[in-house]
Amino acid sequence: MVGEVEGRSKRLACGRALVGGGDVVGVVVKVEHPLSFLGEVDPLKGTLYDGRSIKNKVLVVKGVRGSTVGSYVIYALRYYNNAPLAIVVEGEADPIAVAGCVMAKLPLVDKTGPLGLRDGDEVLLRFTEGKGCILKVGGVDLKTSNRTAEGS
Amino acid sequence: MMLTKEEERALSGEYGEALSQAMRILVKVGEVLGAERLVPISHAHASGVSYATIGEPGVHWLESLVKGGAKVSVYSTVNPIGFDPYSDIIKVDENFVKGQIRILEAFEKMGFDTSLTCTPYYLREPKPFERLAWGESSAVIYANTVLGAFTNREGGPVAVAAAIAGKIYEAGLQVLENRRTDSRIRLGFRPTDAAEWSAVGYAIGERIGQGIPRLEVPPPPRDHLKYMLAASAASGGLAMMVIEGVTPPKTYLLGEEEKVEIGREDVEHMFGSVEDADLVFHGCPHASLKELVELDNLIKEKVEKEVWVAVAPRLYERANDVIKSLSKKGVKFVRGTCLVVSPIDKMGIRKVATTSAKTYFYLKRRGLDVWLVRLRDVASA
Repeated sequence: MVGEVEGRSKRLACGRALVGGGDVVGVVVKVEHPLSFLGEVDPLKGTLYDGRSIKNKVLVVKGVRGSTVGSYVIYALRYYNNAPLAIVVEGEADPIAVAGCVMAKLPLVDKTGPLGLRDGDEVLLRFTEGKGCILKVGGVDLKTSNRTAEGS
Repeated sequence: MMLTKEEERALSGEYGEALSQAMRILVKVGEVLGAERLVPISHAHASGVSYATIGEPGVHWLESLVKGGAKVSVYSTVNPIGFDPYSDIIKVDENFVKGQIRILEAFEKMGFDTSLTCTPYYLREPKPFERLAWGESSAVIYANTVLGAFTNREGGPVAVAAAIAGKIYEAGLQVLENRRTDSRIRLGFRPTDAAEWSAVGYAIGERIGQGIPRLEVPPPPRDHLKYMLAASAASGGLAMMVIEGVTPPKTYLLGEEEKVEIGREDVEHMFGSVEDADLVFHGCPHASLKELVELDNLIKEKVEKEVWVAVAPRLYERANDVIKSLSKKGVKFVRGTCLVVSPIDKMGIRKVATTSAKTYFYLKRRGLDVWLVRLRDVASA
């Protein structure tokens, strides 16, 4: 599947792979503000504060903040089988997200810079040599106007 | 990050899954914070111990560490839990008790001292320059400010990882260069009571949010400082202050300081009377022996209201005489817990008068009616 989608992909950026894993392909859920896992994520339902589901999605957030109990919330997402496929932080991750993702064995990439992604976009997250690269493989723009591969 | 060969082996899992996971947490968190290496610590203190805080997933994580062979490699202590295990003063359901006991058993199996206190410095007082990995914001700021030890505010899992590895990443307040003042607080009045100091700390935390303020005051007693620092760490994100005559020399640097004034008007609005309270509460952070003696001297006859004092279980054992005297005067003790981490709202308690602005901060956020009273007011409750 990965090879198939890569052919029509658009490479957006590479960030720092803090917790690595294999390649991930998934649909984006985007949070436009620094996310506090404690209080803004419900691990029992796998939803965000506004009801959007993050289960088996690629959670892309502008940044992270909040109580240190947040690490346990990330672990709880895994424990209740509601974890996202990966977390991408456009800005810098913090110790809470890092500890939580190590505990939950959840791929975590940060420092990608603004990716211009929105809900429903489909991305490929590829881990190589300490980096996590995000390739857009589906979504509104790709489907309508840009299906040719770019970059590498 | 530069790791020793031994650290590399631990990271790769040669010494078991638990140590490997602990190392991964420390190395990755260190990487994010710009650390170049790990450094040895003398004492880890884990927060996030209450079942109310970490729940079933937390139990599961701690038990998975035990299964992975986790053992602490330095002296390690734990924070208060969600109820008093020695009495039925705080009512919780059976499921809560079971979950909490599993948490404590996991910590015990790893070799933690299940001290159940937010004041680990009363159990073993760290010396200046000692490196620690402490959770519990009130203990962190006390260690950095009063004792001159070096610690960041570690989240629960990071402190557990540090206890297992016996190490912490070298970043933040572990580096002298970062222990530099950036504001100077001038007090417009002289607080005379633990609760007044506590309110001052609350106002400081609220005003400056983060950073390292320098407080220009004649050194207050340590007990008063404890309340002040705890409140500033709750209302703001403070992990350290500098107080000349208190903070050990050479454990800090002076930087460019912004001036901040705190006056009596900034704190007075937090105070009320004991009369309307369902509960009068002292001991956040946990009371010292000296505070118990002071309270015992202040209470002449008997308190009429519900008065609770939170203490560490070990202090309770040690302070037998004063505990007996206070108990006779109607004071009740809560051991190994406090109002911040226990579900007291579920017991029908709505109005709380307390000497602690840290308790004030957290109970207000939980929607309770809460205000400050001075210690002498507690005596007349």
